[in-house]
Amino acid sequence: MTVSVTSDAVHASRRRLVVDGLGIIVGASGFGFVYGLAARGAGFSPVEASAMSVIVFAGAAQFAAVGYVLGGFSWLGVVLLTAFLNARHLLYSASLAPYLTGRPRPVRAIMAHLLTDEAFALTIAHWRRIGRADPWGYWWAAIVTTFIPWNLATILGVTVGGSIPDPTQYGLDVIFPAAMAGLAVGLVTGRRELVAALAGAIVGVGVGLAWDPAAGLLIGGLLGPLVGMVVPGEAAGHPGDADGADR
Amino acid sequence: MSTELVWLAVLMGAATYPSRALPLLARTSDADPA
Repeated sequence: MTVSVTSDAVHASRRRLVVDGLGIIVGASGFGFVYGLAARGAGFSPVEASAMSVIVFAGAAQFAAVGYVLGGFSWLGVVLLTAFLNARHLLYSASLAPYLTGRPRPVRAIMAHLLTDEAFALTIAHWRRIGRADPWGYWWAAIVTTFIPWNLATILGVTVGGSIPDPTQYGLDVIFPAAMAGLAVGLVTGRRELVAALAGAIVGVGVGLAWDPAAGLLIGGLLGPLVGMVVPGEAAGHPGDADGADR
Repeated sequence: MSTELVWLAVLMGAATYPSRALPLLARTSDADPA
């Protein structure tokens, strides 16, 4: 199947991506600032906190690491737990991969480092709209809306955050999940997606409350799509789905 | 200024990168589905 889209359609979809990304910029800034504060509170130096944001670049894993370091976990334990927490990126990566065949491996390797929940959500929506890969969209989502705000906010939080008595009273930690929830709603385009989202959320929250938030993320992220897959589809899949990719 | 945890960041980056990269890098350019 060959999907052709006009230049106007691509530009329109890019504009929507940019607008959708505004909420992520605000969210990443708020969340990154809170991360910087948490890292500072755990005794991280600005260099250490920033190294986490540049090298690890995974909010949930970084927050978990702050808690683990504060709790005196061994480094091996911290590394294994954060790897476990980040395992959900396998699903994101697998979803983007069919669009990127033919792209140079070094480019895909850099894209992989910048892959986050937010970059994935913005990118997959954009690529599905136009039916093919658009690297510009990925770089915008990953770098402009996430990497830069996240890292700048980290530096701000870890350096000047000490002058704020209780930042959580401003609700900064809620901005990021709220922005992601808004994006997720935009990805629910049919019954299967709705069932997958609801199943994933219910399982994730349930396991998170009953056992461990990291396990909840992973199990909910895996079971949600599986439950959605058993629901009969309403029509042909998205043009960008793995089995229909022809880019 | 302490830099000890930079090494932890490197280890964490090495541990989290495969889940991001393996599916993306596993596909070869000639495996593009028709």
